[in-house]
Amino acid sequence: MTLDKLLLKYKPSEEDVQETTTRKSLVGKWTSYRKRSSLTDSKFRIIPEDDRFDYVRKRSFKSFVREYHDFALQTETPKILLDKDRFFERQGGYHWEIVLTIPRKLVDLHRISQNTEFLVKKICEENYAYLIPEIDRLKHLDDESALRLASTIEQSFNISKLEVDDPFQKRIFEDLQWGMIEIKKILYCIIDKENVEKARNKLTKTVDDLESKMLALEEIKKAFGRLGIDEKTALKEFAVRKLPDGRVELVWKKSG
Amino acid sequence: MEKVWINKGNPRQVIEKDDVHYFYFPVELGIGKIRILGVEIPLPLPIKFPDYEPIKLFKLNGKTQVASRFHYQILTYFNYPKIVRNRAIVDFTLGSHSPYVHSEDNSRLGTKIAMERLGAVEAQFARLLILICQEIVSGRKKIKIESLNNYDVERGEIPDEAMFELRKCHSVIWVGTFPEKRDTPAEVWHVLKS
Repeated sequence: MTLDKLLLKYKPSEEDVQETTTRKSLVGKWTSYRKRSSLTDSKFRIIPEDDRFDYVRKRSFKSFVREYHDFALQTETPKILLDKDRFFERQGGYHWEIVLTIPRKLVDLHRISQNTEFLVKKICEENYAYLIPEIDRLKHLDDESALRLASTIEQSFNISKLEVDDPFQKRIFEDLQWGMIEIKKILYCIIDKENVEKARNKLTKTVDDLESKMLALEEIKKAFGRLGIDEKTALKEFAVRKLPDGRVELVWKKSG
Repeated sequence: MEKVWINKGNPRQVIEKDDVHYFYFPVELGIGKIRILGVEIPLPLPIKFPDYEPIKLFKLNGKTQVASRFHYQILTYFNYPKIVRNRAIVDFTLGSHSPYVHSEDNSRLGTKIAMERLGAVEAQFARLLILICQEIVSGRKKIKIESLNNYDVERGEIPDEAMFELRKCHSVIWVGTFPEKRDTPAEVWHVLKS
């Protein structure tokens, strides 16, 4: 199985095809067939998600086709997961065939995997001094690279959130992940050339806000050190349970 | 309302309204950053003007209990306070001024936190506060009673957004004894059980 070509097959019948479009983008080449009588599906983008390549690599060509729903399809409407049943329903029965040719230089699996792993490590350590410059790079990178970096960071927050036991950390990472999702949304607008000027200003502001938030988190974390509190050990002294009302209860175990 | 002793902290003014003492601080400090010649420098910056820290006393079954709040959303409930000369003792921490009420030595500690309603920074602050409380109740951190200061109470108005309304709190941190319904004021019990 090569990584170079991924095939998502939704082939329209000949008489239904009104227009064939082939475009190249940084993520690859895709071909779409617009169904006759439809003018709404001409604009979409496929964004392969980093970890999904690794997932695909492990499967045979045949089984990969069955796993197409693991890819995300970006349309004018919000992000829709390519679930076969939902796809037909949402798109009103359009059929298309998409061939993605992924340039190898963009799918450096080893590097991406390492990046995510490394970022997860830094996030779990709450090393904001490392993370803040990474986030700041989003303001200076070209749009596609920024989107890839934002996706990697967002994914790393997601993994970290699942990785940690401390409910406060979980919440912190989740909130920061939402910040990254917001940044990704803005980057999608920029790449789609929708209100670019406004989106760029918003990107700078959103990145600055996220940095400020991380800076505050870093400063509070320093307070733990100044007070001689090891938060990881200290939280182990609490019995933690989720309450039916959705709240989290922590009771200091030494309380008896 | 009866008064408490102030051990640490220097509120500019104390205003009584609706049986609550509001300790007024002109500025609450937080962490911000300024940019000088392209370099961002973290600094303690004012994050809120002004800051009102409420203290509400309850007398239940002959015992004094104290309620306050943290970041407007989290109720802090001290139901086993140390009483010196008929008054509880309060410390106002540096920066955020969050009140901490001195509790008896064998106090316990617990929380109920609506995590999804806290932002990242608030969650980090809440974790810090809980762990500081833990350090104190476990005896690992000693808080000394240095001076018991009295204060004058004035009548005055409090901005609506600064009013201490327990029903607006979605989370609670309690210090003292495990809260049982019969020993807990109804409005605090409502937050504990909501």
